[in-house]
Amino acid sequence: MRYGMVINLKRCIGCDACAIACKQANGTPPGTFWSHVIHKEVGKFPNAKVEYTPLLCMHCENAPCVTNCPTGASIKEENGIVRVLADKCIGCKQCIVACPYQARWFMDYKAKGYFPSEGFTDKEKADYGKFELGKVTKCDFCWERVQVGEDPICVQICPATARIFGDLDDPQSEVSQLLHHNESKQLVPEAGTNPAVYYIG
Amino acid sequence: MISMSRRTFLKGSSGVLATIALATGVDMSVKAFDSVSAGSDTVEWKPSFCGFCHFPVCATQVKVVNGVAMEVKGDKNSESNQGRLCTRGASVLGNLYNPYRVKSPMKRTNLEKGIDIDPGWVEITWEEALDIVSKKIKAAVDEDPRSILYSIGFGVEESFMAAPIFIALGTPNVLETPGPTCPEHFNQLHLNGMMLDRVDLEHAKYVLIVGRSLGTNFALSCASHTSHYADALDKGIKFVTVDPQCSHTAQRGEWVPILSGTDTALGLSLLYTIIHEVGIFDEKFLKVRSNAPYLLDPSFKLIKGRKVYKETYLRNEEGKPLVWDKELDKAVPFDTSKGETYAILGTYEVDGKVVQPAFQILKDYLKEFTPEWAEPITTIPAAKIREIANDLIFHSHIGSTINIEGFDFPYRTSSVVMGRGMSSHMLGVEAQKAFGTINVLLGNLDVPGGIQGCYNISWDKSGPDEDGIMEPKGNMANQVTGDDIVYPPETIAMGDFYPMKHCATPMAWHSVLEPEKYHINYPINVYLIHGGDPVGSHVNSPSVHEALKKIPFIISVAYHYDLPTQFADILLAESSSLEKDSIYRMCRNEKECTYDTVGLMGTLVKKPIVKSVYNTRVAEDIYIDICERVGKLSEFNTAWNHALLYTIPAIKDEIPSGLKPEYFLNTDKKYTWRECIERKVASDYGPNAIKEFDKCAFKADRLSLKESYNYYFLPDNKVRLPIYYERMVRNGERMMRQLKEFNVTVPNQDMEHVYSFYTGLPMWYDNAGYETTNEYPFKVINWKIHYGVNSTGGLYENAYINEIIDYSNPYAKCIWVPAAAAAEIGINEGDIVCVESRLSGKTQGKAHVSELMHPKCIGIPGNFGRRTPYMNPLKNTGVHFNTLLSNNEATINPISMAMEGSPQAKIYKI
Repeated sequence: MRYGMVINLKRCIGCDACAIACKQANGTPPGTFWSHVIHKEVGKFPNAKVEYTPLLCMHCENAPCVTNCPTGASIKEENGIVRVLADKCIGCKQCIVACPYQARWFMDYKAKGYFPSEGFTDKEKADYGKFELGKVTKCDFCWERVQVGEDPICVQICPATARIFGDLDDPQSEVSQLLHHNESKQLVPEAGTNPAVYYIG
Repeated sequence: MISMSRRTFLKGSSGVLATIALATGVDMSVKAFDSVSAGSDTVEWKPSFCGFCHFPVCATQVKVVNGVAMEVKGDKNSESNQGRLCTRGASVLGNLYNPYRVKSPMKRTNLEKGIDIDPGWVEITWEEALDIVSKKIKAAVDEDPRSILYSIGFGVEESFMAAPIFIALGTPNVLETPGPTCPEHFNQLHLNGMMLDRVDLEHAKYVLIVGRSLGTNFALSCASHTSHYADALDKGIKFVTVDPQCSHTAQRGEWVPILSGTDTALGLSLLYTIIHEVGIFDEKFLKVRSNAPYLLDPSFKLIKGRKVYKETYLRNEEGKPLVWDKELDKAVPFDTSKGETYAILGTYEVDGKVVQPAFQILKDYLKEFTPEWAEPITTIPAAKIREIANDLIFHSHIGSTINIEGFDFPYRTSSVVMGRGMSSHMLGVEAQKAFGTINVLLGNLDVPGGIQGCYNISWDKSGPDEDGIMEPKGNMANQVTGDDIVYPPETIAMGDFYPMKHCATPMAWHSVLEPEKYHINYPINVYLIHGGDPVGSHVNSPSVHEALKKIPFIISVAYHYDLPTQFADILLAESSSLEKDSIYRMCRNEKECTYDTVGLMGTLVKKPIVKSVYNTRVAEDIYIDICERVGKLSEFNTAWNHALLYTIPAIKDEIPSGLKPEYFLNTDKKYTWRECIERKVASDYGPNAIKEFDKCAFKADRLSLKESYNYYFLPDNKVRLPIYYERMVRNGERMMRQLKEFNVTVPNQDMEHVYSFYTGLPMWYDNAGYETTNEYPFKVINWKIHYGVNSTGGLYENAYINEIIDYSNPYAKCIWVPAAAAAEIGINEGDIVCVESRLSGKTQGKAHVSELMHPKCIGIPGNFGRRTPYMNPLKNTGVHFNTLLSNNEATINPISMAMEGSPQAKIYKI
């Protein structure tokens, strides 16, 4: 079992629903984006377009964040998901340096809520209690949802059905079939990380 | 290393640890913030539906933990969105938990009003607020109900026009805020018989998109629009997008850059090419399903140098339009046979009159509108125009049929999809006529593969007028049938002088400032605004501000502080999307469809997910309270019983608009809005149905596939569609006759100019405002962005939306300058620039140098920049486009009353 994701760039319309879905479901504070999209204008008039690249943790097979973690706080689970165990994290930020995808976020004590002059909202009060000062956080493929057989929220919510999640080790899974039938790429292949997130289209 | 026994999160700035004192007496140094939960949490998932776009039919599930809404996702059990949810729906918790909302009823203490003047709001009780408001409204009703103005807008999409407040109060002065920059329903009403249309992506092969978005921007929606669009991209449907801006469909298909406002020229030249060069079009459709064979005098008039067609059908003694039957070799009434033997070309003599079929007249008219003529106007190369014309025909499958559930339909797979970007110009209605006629030539109206009408009336209830031509019923039908002139005018927005108007609201302010000039002989006492912004969404100009200041008493049913609240006297704090009861009817998937959704309809009901965060109330309950206090409760209840509004339409005979008599509200009793909704649901679905909405907010109903294509109900010549807009000509004659009877003209209008627009064919004239000039070398355009359409749901002040824009897509808040022009003028990325409109004011912001704009078009996306110092500071970002628009009569479209949506402009660094 190795969970992975296929993102279809032909279907992606760069709407950022995945970014906001993740943020509100996980309650990340301002400035933290476990899931987000790069919008980049390329080309020259009239042959110009915007390239959308949805980003999240790649849950790499050879995860440098795991190998570089001095305390074993960053772990690769049996199902392939890379997680951070907050109790073990000492906030050394080696993983942030090591990650080629800038997928890790540090809980800075200077961070504020969304309304600095108005105080925390009820949701913020409930959300921020989940996070620890001085620790690293990141996308965990919606670990708790996956345990009960649901897809990550960014996959469920995508208006264009551009994200598919599943078991890369199962040749009959939708992710495997998509990779079998389509040319795909992974980001920063030269880093040798073998990400579990693939891009097609 | 810090050791903490409980998880904490600190708020601080400048390195100073700040703390929040809680009732538990928290230690000041490290544990600045305690998690709410101690022990087990109460977790519930509750159904709701999203109201944040033009198609508020996506059902959601919201996670509530200890009474706090913590997460939203799409409801996977809903047939409308199947678990998907867009950017806007996903941000709803930012709409609920927004400390800048109007938190309670407020009263103005500073009597001086203005955009930048502190209203001096103080909190008052609901009793005081309703007492003040009701007394004012009662006095206005007693003096003259017309003295009450009411604005409703798409700020409350899921309850837009649901509660019949203005009917109850008896005022005709409904100043709808949607409409003046999207007069895009003319074409659908004439050719599909209803106000909305969609393209059939199940079968389409080639779609020419003109001034509209599909799948993104305005059309981003999880009720399958975006998913269908993505499927279409996967399938290889060819999208050709004619737009001044390179939208997503343009990027994924082909982009044909066009100078904004010149689409009419493109439409005329495409018609020329199809008819005069390609020579292939759906002749059977023309003969059987259109008024192409109807005989008319081919002569035209010159009015102000413009070629206009004022002739009406040649009729027999019974008044029936005549056609020339080639087999019988004589003129016969149009309904003599199906039409396959009717002539669409030629010149004939009938009773001494020289007449031609409408199609011959059109063909001759088009001779001058070659691609070479259109090229310098549109900036589209003639070769490209020819290529598009050829491709439309090549992909059309003219002559083919498809059998669906035992019924043979014509099968037509190329179409033109039109939108407001094309139609909100002086010649915008002409563009709709031209491109509408292209769809007629392609034979694609209401058949598989083509353009389908969708809304509350299907063709089993609709039908032809006495001339055999499509006559829409219900909402917006006046855009075909034409209203009578009403004099003295009942409404202040001057719509009574414009028979085929779409939206008149921006004209209202002229009447407020100069009532005598505009024939208004009654006072204006009260203005009730709810969910609309008649300043920021229309014309944000000093004269509009002056008009609002003149109105003695303004009430805003307000979720947030905005431009209108700067002029209000009382704010009635409205509950937000997740705090309210709503009912909505989904009538057909609009914009596009596949077999998955083509016949899908249904009802959505929601109730509050959480207790109101602040001292707010459901808007409709506020209305009911007001009606009770002013003695209009029975009128409100009667209007609800009989569904005198179009917003809860029928789905089928068993599920009508109104209530069945056994579920009527007792006219003398006061009900809550929740009770009104429950009665409607019981009436539609039975007494136990309301419980179903406790699981999922959407209850589906489906037509069969064949019933989803309107042609099924009125095939062949059962209804005909216009290529010559003869009824429009008659509307114009009636208008002139009635104005003469009243001895008035249309206020502040050049009557020759107005009269010229009532013409049977798409008119063209030079210097209609589409062109650039030496002093104003650019055209400035706006497009809706998916982060917030129609300012619905306070999205422009939503913290999540703003953060993701600033982080990922900051160009959305900029002025887009075409790269080549920027280089020439010396504008660099990030420079502060000013855009000045020839019609009106100026606006400024940060420049984004872009390769995605037509070289002579400047772009200002979205609805940003509605600034006052007294609103959510998040809204004080971005650039305001509407400051560039004008409500001057000389600049509006005389048919639709739409404002010019793309003024001539200049740009400079400041």
